[in-house]
Amino acid sequence: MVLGGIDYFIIIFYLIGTVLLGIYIGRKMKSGQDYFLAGRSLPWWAIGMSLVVTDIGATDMVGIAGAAYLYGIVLGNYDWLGSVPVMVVGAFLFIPMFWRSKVSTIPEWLGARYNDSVRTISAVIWGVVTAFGLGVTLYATALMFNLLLDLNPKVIVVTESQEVRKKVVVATAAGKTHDFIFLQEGDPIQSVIDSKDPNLVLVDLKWKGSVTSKNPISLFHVDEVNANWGQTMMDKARPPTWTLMYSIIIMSILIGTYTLFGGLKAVVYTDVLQCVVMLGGSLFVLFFGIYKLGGIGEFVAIIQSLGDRAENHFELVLPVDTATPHPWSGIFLGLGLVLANAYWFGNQNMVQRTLGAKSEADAKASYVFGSILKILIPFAMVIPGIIALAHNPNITDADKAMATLVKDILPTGLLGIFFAAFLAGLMSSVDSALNSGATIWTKDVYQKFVKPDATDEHLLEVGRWITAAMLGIAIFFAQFAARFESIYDLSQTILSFFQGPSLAIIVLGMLWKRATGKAALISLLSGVMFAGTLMWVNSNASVPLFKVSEPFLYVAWWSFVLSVVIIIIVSLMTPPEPESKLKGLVYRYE
Amino acid sequence: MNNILLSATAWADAIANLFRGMGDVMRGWMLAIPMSVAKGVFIAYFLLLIYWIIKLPENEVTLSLSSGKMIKLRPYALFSLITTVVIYLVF
Repeated sequence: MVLGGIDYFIIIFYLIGTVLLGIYIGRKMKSGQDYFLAGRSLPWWAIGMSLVVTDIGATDMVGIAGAAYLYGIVLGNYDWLGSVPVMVVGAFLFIPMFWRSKVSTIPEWLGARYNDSVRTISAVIWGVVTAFGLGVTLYATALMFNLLLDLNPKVIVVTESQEVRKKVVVATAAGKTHDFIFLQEGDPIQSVIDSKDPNLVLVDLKWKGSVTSKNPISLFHVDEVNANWGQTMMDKARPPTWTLMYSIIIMSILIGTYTLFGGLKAVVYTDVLQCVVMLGGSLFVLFFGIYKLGGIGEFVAIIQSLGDRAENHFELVLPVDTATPHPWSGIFLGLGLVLANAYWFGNQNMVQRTLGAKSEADAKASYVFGSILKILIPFAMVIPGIIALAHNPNITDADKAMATLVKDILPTGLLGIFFAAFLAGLMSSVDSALNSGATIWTKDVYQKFVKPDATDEHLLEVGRWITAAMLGIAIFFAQFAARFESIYDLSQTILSFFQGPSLAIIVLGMLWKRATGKAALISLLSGVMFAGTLMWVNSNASVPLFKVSEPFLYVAWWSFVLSVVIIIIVSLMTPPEPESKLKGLVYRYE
Repeated sequence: MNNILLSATAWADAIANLFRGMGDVMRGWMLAIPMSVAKGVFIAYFLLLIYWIIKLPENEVTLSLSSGKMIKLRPYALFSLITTVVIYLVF
């Protein structure tokens, strides 16, 4: 199934419409307060929907569905454990405290609670992590964009053997940059080659003389398929006319335009539109996908028939020695107790919206509303990944599972609507990271160190320049994201360096009056260094330290534990903060 | 270059050995926990939060929106958590 003219029209209409909506919302933008916090005018329902759609951005739509394709419903933990309960806790404990303190950023709150050093270090780390994370989300967004619009260069492989197919993909190392089309006896081989305009055609010797192509074509024997052969073949391939980088730049211009003009308000209201379309679209894919497989019973039976490969695909809680990166111990301790909490009330991306809420009630209600919407997300993102496996167990790159499913099951016309919805969802995570990153760099670095007496109008101008600069940095980082097997794991790994220590100083800062600035600083730095050391040791030791392939959950847990221990010990060894400083920032001192 | 790589591996091995013994013991404890108990841990966590929400003072959960309308958040928070418990019981 390929996109028809109507699909392209819908996608282009939607993308341009989103940009125009953002520009329209931003037309009355006059100050930094308007740009960074939407003039504190946001209602709970808009924030709630924005929170959810921001969280289910590029990494979820591409990465979670891809990971679910590989590992199953265990990925549902990232919403059912990693969002629902934490958002409820955040609604009643952390978010109201942030909102009442009238800060613009979490580092600003840390500065008020502890000291300027904690604020600055936290701001710089978040600013850098956000810029790098933006690169990852931009990459994922462009990956989806390319796949949906069928822009990837293609390699057609004509062979009967499943084993040979896998060997060819590995040997050419082109699975991330090219789409592979496998053909065998019974397929309309010549017509597919003629219609797809492939960059390279590889033909098993068995078909010698029976296949032709105006593009580079090579015969091969199974015994010669190795890395050298793969490299030689790829050198022969016609250069791509469209690369991932072009898509990255196009998405950057579209997203950058409305974020630059409209700030947080444009981000939140475009998110509302994106949430409705994307949730509707994803749930439709769920029902239509199961229907196409013959119903729930048939769907489950197909997955079970895949044997060992999918034996735990319907298990939410996996054993400690599971071969996946998601053992229950890591999920519960690393995700449930650390990463999830750090994400929902320690992440500027998320918290910034509630800081722009009209009232404390709106801020609280937005998180409760978001928690209800979050229950639906695994049905919209994770289970379609498993449906993709049932539908096609031979997808070579798991990150392409969701897009492949959508392309395969939906008819022309509907495809355009759902592709536009998916693209919109991907855009939402980029625009949010862009806006929150710009807020941190402007408020916590520029205003703090460069121009403390800057007017609100000047901050608006600076915020826009920083937004543009971050986009440039993200484009640069995006090209490195392709080197990782799962972009979701990559993004979690980046965050795990910082999330545990950051959470430790926020939680103890808000709940324990005895936590001191010096202790927080030492705790934050030690925690980040410890997390980095664990990751480095795990990669460089002759036997990895952790037994799971992507140990970000354990790294987050242990860096959190270490940071908590350090902040408690050092706080008790240093003089307490004056009580006047704690008012409004620590529970029981309001 | 090889020397640098060798020394990086040697350093990593030395640091890893500091943690490995303790890690293996803890992993052994975790492995000994039956899967039914592991699932119980997840559900107990949700039940604890449900209890906390029920016990929250009324002024924390019933608030006035900027529009002047009162909103009761407790039932919605409970709905979220109870639905999630059901999901963990099913899968």
